[in-house]
Amino acid sequence: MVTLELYNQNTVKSQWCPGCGDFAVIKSLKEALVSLEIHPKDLVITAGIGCSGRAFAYLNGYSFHGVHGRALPLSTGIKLANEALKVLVLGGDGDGYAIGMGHFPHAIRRNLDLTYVVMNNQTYGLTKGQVSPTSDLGYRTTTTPAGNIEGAIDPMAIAMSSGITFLARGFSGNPKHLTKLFERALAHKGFSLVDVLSPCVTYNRINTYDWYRDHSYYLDEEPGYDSTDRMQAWNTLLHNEKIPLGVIYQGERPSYEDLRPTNTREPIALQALHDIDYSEVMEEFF
Amino acid sequence: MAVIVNQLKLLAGGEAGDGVFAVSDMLALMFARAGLEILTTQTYSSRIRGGHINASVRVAEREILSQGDELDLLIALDLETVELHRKNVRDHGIILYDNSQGEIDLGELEQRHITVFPIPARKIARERLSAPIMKNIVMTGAALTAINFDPEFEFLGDLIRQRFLSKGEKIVAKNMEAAAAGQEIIQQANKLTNYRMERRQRARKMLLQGSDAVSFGALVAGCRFMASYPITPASDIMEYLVTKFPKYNGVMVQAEDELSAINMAIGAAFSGARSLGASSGPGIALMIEALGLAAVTETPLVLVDVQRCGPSTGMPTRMEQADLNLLLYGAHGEIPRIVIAPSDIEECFYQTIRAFNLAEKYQCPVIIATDQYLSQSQRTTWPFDLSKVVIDRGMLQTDEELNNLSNPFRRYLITERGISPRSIPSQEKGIFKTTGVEHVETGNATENPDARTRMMKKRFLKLDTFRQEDMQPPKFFGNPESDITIVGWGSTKGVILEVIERFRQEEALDLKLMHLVDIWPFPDQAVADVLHRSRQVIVVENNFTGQMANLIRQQTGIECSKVGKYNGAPFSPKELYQRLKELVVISEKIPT
Repeated sequence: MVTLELYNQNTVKSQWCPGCGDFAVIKSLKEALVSLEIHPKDLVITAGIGCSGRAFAYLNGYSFHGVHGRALPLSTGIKLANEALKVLVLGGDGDGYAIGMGHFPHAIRRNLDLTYVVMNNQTYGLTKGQVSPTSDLGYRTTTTPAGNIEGAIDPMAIAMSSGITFLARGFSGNPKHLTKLFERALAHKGFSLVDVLSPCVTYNRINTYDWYRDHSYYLDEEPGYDSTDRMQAWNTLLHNEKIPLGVIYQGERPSYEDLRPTNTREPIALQALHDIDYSEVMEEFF
Repeated sequence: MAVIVNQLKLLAGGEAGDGVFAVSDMLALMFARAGLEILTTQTYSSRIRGGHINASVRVAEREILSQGDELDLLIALDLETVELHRKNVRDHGIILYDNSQGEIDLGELEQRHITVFPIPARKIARERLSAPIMKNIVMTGAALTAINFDPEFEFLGDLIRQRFLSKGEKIVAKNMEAAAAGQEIIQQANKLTNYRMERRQRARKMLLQGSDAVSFGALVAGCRFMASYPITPASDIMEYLVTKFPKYNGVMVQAEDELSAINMAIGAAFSGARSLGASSGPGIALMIEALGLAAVTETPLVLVDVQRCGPSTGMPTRMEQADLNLLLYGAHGEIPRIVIAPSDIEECFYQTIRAFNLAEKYQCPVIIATDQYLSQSQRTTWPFDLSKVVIDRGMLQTDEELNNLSNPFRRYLITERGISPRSIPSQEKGIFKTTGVEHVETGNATENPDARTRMMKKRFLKLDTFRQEDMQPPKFFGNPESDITIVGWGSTKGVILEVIERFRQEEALDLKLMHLVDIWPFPDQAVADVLHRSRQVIVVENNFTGQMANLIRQQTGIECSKVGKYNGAPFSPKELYQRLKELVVISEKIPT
């Protein structure tokens, strides 16, 4: 039986500020994992560096908290070595869209079966309030005292153009909706991204819970929105004043695991290594 | 001039795109199949077409230790090759050159009794065969005839069939015709040369390069995951394994960069796969942060550095041994690691297998340091003894072992040997968290000073265990009684041995070689014992600052003389002999 209680085992006390949006992310993730009956023994949580990265310690499961920006490559190795595992990648906007951005489109184009949850608060939290690649123009921080003069990156558009097969955006202020998104993302076969608007209550006084409420809308409530329609997805991303929440796009294409040439689907890491005959390969050297 | 039998060094050269390496590869394989010993080298530039490239093949009946010195045979696919290498052709040697684009000035060649054969290979290939690409086969046929080898094209025929049969009988026939055209020109020239190559009977030997041996070693060791980013001269390894992995249910991922590659390899190792990363200097530099991650999370990782000339882009296709400091010290903070430098093809194979066992036993990075020369030089080698291969997965726990634990599993349990039990995902009783943050036995993060001290000691304790259980002392060659010790590491072994033999023959002077294979942890005691008893110690290495000599001083306090080379080429026997002769203090000659 997979229970919430099971997911609370092997965890440590949170170091997040009271009111942090990331609490809702962890709560919703646990609920989604329980409802999908994924056992912690079959789950690997990977995380990068930042406040969000610390989430790896707040729910049960195998987990690997790596270096800054490299959670996606780490996860690629973990998943390919054992395709039977569910791999959940956690990080923030700085970890994923700044230092780790070099890996983002490549992980997506490989379409490995990973679920990537980005806790996007549009600021650097752990290093105490510097500008982030998703910070809005004019945003004042310790490193942009005169206001941000760099435009914000649009990770959703980058994900779309890299060929993502499951793209969603959630909001920490609506954990119920978030849980549903996580359930769908975890169940999706292929790379899934859930970018969660997850307010930083300490350093980001602009993009607050109320600000996000005022500046977002739910795609479920849009009549006729078809998330399997790529053009609609692009239109939604490009032509909206407000931030769309929900599943923006869901498509299908073979994953890297499906396409890799092999005679067996036995997990690579679990196969026996003894008593294998290599003399045929050595013969090629004569 | 007496006829020289089965003793030859040839060099094939031309422009990139001329098919130069096809000539040298074919000749090398034919000699090897005829029972002779081979050592090849390749010299090329970082470009696809144009620019001079060359490959040498040294052939003999006895084991060959280095690429040798003067050329017996120069096969020039263009005129530039003749100009570049004519001075290296020994007196009474042979030059074959393609005269389709002009004649060379014979100049001093006649006085030096060098036999010159102009071969209009381009012209023949274009006009008679309508296949310009086959000019190198014309030259191959000519070369075989000039050295009186394979007159019936027995070996060449087999090889051409093997290479071209998939393209149809017509192509095979045309290649044979090209070779025959080359043969005919030599026969018509009616000049005798002093060389003859004869078949010798011996058990079959393989012909392979260092990177083949590393790659095959990895496969045999059970490596089933590799992530890598293309880089000269390390790409050979990824290109080899990608062709072999499908049959053995392994996967090679070409990563978007080396930062990604090493993190992928670490991830796969965490999942329980035997995992490999390989790169060269620039890529290794990018991997250093994650090397620390592998060490602190105690994830087994094997990393190959095929050293090339640095710094920065340096000279990508040339050899150097200048990454030693990077491999020993590259990290922020302090980490346990094992560094091994194979010195020949056999060691490339067996040490790679050992590296995978050590990585899992000690749960730390194991680095294999080769270089462009060792990696891309083909040598005749006895078949590897596959029955000797042992796979040791260390403290990897079975489900049963985990189920029998009385306490909850602690991944970083502090033990007497520093090595902790290890589980992999999917094991229900083995769930653990790991992090690059300092952690306690469970894997949970800590900043407690005592916990930190304990964990640092635990990780470094593994190296003490390695010293006791696994460290291989340096290898000794030459006269063990000699009080002049040459120290080498990696690919310099062969040339040093050749030079030691020359000192014995020409100077009646006995030297000994101490060759280091296990470089880190450093075999302090074994090295100090020998060096303290030596009247003179000379470290031979391919770098500027004398990194190994400095390491010896750091570890033993002993100051050594340095012989360095850093121009991109390995030491030649003649050059090393002269450099050592200048240094060696012959106070007393030891009778042989």
